[in-house]
Amino acid sequence: MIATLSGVEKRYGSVKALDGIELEIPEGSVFGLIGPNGAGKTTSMLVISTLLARDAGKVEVVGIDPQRDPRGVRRLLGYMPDFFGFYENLTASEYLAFFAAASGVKPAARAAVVTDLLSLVDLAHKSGADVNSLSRGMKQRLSLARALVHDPQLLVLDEPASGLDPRARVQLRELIAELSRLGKTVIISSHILSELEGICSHLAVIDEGKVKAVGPLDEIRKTLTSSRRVTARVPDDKVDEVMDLLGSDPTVHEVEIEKGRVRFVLSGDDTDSARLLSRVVVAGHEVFEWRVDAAGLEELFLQITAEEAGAA
Amino acid sequence: MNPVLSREILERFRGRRAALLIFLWTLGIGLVGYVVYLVGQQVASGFFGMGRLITTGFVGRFLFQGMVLLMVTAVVMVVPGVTALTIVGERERQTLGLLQVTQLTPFQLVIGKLSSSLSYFLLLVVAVAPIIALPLLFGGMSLGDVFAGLGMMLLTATMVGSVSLAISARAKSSRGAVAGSYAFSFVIAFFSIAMILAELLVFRGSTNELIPPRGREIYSSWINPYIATVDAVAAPLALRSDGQFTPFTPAELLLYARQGVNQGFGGVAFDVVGFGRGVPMEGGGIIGPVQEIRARRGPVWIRTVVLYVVISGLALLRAARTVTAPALAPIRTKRVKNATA
Repeated sequence: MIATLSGVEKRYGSVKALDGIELEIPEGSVFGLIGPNGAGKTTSMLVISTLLARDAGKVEVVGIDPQRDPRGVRRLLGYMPDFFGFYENLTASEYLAFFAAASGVKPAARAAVVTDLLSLVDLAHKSGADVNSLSRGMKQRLSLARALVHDPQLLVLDEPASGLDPRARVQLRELIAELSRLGKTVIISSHILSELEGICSHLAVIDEGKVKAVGPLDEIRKTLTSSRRVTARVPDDKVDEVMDLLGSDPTVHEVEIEKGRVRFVLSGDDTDSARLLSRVVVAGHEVFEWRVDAAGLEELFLQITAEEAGAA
Repeated sequence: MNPVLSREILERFRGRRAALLIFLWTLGIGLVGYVVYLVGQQVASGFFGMGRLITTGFVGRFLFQGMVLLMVTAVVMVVPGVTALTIVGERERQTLGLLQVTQLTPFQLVIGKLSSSLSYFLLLVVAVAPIIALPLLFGGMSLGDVFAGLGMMLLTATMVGSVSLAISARAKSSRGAVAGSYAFSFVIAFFSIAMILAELLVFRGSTNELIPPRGREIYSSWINPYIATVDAVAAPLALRSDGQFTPFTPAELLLYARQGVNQGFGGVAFDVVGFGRGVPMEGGGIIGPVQEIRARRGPVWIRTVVLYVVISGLALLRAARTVTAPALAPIRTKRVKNATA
């Protein structure tokens, strides 16, 4: 594990921002923190990034307690907050060179580091441009480059895509995927769940300062998804017959016709889905399309938080 | 080189604004210097029977003293302005956290900020150095006087800058930081003069009696940069022999009063002092046509130097502690009473 949080608590006055958070972040993973605003995502990230002292619990980042040896952790960690922090009158390359110097990159290596990073984030052509003149997406990529100046093992990205247009989001997502391929561990938070879809290998759902669910994304999906939505396309004149056939199965619910397709909720796994498909085919119906939709992050999040609310 | 310092230099001196400010500053100092020169000439021309050489020396000293006081005033007026925004500015543009997660130590961050402010001020001093050096052509002061003046000015700038930095680190807004820094600066430069007068009035009373040999020190005189600079530059007990009004005269009178000597403007009417039996005074020399005096108290400037060094050190430590992340002191939490309990 590259980072672990165990029973971490943090209060702001009377508000409990973290209430016994337990997290284990595997090395090389892209670890998503999801949750509504005020759930405790940013506070968790600040504690990991050495910027905030916890009130209780244990934290280890790369085997180091961030409160005991913050500089040791900072050597191995790159942090990108949920805001831009830029200096006036500096160009993109000067900005990176400054942070490279502040992060302890040797003078002889700085120019190469700056050039490489600007290329990585696709800003080489903006090297001499004033930082203030860059677009929001470019600033965000520059900010990511800043977090990488000292080649950290662990990247902590707090809401990196907030406020970006769709194209910039896609670029950022590709960049994060590239960093993951380069072996970096990435902790990334968002309250816009679709942003994390397709990037994260692991996930933690945080709400009211507590971890509601945590683990590899596929496992969470498997554990939590007891039902899935299935769409079947059959010849138009057979829709009613297929609907009746499917409706008679005990694992099938909420059967409906939508735009000439039969849609239903299946309470079962992939085997049940295959069995149903076979039944339809054996009954002599042609099947042009059989699509099983796995639960999306939003669906999972709603399910997790709904279960919690129900339990309460 | 400290990365914060090199970045700030790059930022500060880029663009036309910096060049324009330096031009206006140089112009302003030049004009004030010229006015001081004219006043000095006027005062010198009032001397009766004084030779040309002595008059020139007097004008030189007059101009030098005027420039020294002007530079101390510049410290008081400029340093808080260039320092107060340094850390609160980082917080407002949301870059402080970014600096805190680098390898910079809090002390490096604070020293970088202070040295960048002081280097800016030094550049302003260097820009007007030819004007400040003009009095040397006239004579009337030594290179030692020049270095003493520069030294006190730099120390004052360091102290004011350090305190402004500590205020900036704690301030919630740039307005608060600027107001706090200028308030401190004005207190030590101007309000302390009122405190010195009040102390003198309280401890000397209206009877104009001399302070007894074991009398109380005028402590507020230690904090004032003008008094310390005049004390360091002029060795006033030695220099007042000509008895003429110069820019240093008001401060010299306060220094006399601190020693227990009562001397009015014009400098010819000494009180009877009778300190000892003509033991050489600190700073050397004999003052007055008939009386010998020696200093009862040591020089103010040494006390001021010690005080300023201590204040600077404490302020820098405070500023460094404030920008340390995670916060060194545990955050206090309020216990919330359970409503049902």
